[in-house]
Amino acid sequence: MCVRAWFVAFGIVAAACGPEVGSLKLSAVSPKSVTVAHEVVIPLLADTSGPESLQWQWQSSDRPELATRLSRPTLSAYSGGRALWRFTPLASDVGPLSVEFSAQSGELSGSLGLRFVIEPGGDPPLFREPVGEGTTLDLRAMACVAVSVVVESSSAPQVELSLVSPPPNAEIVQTDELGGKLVFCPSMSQAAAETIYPLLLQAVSGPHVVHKSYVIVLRRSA
Amino acid sequence: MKRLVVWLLLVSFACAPSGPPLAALDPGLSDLSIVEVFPTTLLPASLLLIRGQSLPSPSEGSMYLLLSGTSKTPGGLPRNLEVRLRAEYVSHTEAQVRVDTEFLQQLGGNSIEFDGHAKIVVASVIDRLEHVSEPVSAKLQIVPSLSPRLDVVELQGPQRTTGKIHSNDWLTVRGDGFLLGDGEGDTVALVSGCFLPEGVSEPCAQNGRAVRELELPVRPLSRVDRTSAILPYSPTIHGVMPGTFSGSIRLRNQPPGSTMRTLSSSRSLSVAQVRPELTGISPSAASLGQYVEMQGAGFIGGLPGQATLVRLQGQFSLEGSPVNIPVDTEIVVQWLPRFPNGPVGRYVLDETDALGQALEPRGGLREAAGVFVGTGTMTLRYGRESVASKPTPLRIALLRPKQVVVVRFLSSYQDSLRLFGLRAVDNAVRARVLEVARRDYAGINIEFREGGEDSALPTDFAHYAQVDIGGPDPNGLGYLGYDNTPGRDMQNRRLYDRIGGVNAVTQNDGAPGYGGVFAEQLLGFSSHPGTVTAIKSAPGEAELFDQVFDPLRPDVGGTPATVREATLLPALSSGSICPASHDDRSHQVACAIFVLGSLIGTTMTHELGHSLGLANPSNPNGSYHNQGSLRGRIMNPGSLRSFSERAELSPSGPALFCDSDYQYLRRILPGSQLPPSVERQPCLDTPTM
Repeated sequence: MCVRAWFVAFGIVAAACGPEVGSLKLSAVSPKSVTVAHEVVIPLLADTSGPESLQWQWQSSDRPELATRLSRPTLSAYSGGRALWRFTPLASDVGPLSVEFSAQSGELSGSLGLRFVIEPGGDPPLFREPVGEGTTLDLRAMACVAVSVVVESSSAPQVELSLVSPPPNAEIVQTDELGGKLVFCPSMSQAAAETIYPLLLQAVSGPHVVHKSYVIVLRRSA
Repeated sequence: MKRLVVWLLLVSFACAPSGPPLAALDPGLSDLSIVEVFPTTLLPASLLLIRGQSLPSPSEGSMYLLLSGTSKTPGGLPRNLEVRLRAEYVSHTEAQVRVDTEFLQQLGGNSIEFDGHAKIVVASVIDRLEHVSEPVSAKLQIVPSLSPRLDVVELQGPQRTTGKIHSNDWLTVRGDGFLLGDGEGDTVALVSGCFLPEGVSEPCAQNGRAVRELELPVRPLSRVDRTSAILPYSPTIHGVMPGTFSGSIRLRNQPPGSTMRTLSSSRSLSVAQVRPELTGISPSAASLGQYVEMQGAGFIGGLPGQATLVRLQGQFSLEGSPVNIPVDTEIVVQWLPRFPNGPVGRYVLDETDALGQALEPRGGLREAAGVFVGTGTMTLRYGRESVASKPTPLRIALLRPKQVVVVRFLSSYQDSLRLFGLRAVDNAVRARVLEVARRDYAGINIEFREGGEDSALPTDFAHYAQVDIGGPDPNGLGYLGYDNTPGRDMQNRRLYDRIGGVNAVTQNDGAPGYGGVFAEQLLGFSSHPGTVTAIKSAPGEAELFDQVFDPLRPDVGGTPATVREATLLPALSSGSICPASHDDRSHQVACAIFVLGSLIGTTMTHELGHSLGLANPSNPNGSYHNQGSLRGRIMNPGSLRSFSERAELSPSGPALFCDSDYQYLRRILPGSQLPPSVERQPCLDTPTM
């Protein structure tokens, strides 16, 4: 049993490592992007017209456990020298990954390496509050408006909140990683000069910068 | 040593199984077809659009447009040609080709008439073969430039006969040679004339406001029509005050990167601008986070110095209370440039704005249900100008919060269905999932909507939750489902939770980051779960699972369900006949649909319960699951939820929310529907710490 296994093992290694014996040309379509939880499918093709059946294999030299763990990739062979390698990466897989494919058909063998990076995914932040387009500040009743600001972020645990080119006396006071208060206390001269104050809220999270327009309209005595 | 290395290499390789003759690889292009190419008149940098079916995404293959026929220059002789142009994927039904230098060179220049056929050619990356669609006839004209021709300027709707116009009412321009944007350039309107405000005497040239070549963007009516376009009668022309405008309009084509401008002849434009009008609202009853559309005309906004306000004056009568609260507040309305049934004004019920804050002492928009009766007056603010509509009687019912839940079935879920042999009956599984969800939350103000990765999201609610139904657990933990929303959302403060994707905040807290329902992990209930984590279950449960699914699972020699079977099957409303006998194929398929739909559905209702604040909703430090060892409660821990209970094959019936969990849900999301008459088990909540 051991001897037989040894011959099989030798054959596979020779096929993968000994193109001088007789080579199979392998080609693959490298994935453009690979993200956690999204299946990546790599089509493979071996240039063979021989009658012998084709034996496909794969391994990852930098993550050998990938082949034996649960939630592992699968490799399905089809007719005409074709095969599909399918893999849905896990959160723990984020980072670069090398995969070596090999195929053997009788005396012929070939191999091919692919390297790609698995991204964690995640979307740009999203303003959740305020949800509307604006509010009114009745200066007859109060001098300031304070609006709760809440941002949802899937790609980073904190964001930086600010106002873009704010008018005087308007600011966002950040109170936690994903929230704050938009405060505007217009001066008498501001209230006299203008009644519509368009504001642009900004949330920055890593490479993502998102904005939300919000208008504060002043109500004052006629 | 060498032998050891070789042996280790052997065991580290994962092999494709060998065995019976291999099947041909299906690239999914059997329905590939082309329907039409448009527009028929093209300019340098135009986009030639292709409408078709089963067009492949970039990960599935490269796509080309094959044009074969004759091309002719003006005054020249026709010559035969066949050109192959790289097409860019837009969707499974649309692709596009940019008219670039290569395009023009292949067709023979920038002044060409082509007459022939178009085909789509796909170089599939899946099977590495070329697939060609059937041809459609195609006639294309390429011209170096287009000059606009303006024949008619029209008002829309009732304004067409009255000549009266509101701010931002649509004007239609008809003619030819309009640019369609998307790289070929834009057509703009130039408006000139004189505006005489209401109450100011003639002559306009002396007492009015001159308008000189004010530029307004023109929007094509469609991406293929060079003869019709629309533009809003913008307040930037002369403001928002009532009065009369007399002048002209002409069009100008502006190709990108060129100073060359071509102008149409002008057409006269005389209108009377009138005050805005507010005629009603829709819907007349709404809840927190829901959009309310204002009906009427004259809405403005979207640019600095412009705002539309609606002043609400009247009484708000609180539900279940004799108290009437006087209301005098103004809300900010968003201008939506919708065509043809618009523009409209849109408002979203927001806790943070003036109306939301005014109701805060009464519990805000979450508690203060009731009816506002009074008037609404629309005011346009444009710089220092302000003009109001007549007050309109309004009646608006403010409803208690409603939770809209979009259940998104992801492509990874569809991939996982293959493992169960149920890919072809996907829709039937989905229907069962939603049936379970609606039943479990009966009497609660939740609305479940089906969605997918590419389907449109709700437009009637700004706040809605999402639950993703996916394939394997991306956390690698073998969970059936996981609520990855941050913390415990007591009282369901967030109506916008997303159970799905990744959540960095949750991850940062040390918890798994990826959420959703993980359909593939359900295979773990089998006695032969393949590459899926096995789930420990009571004796007989794995065998029951296998009796249901083995007849369909391809990995154990079963025969997957077919589309035809799906159309012939009656949906089961109970699992009493499951598992079906081995010679009853139709019931085998029906049982598998029922069981998988129930498994996914009951997992989803549990995870959604977490995101709504369950379990132990009154205790911030309490357990996330029900206390004690009573079975049959939706928020029980996984160890108390057997396969047969989740699959609804148990004679004791489906699990229910326990008593105080259900009362809590009724309190935060009270539905108008009466609670179902069922006996609920005690939750045995831990007391508040």
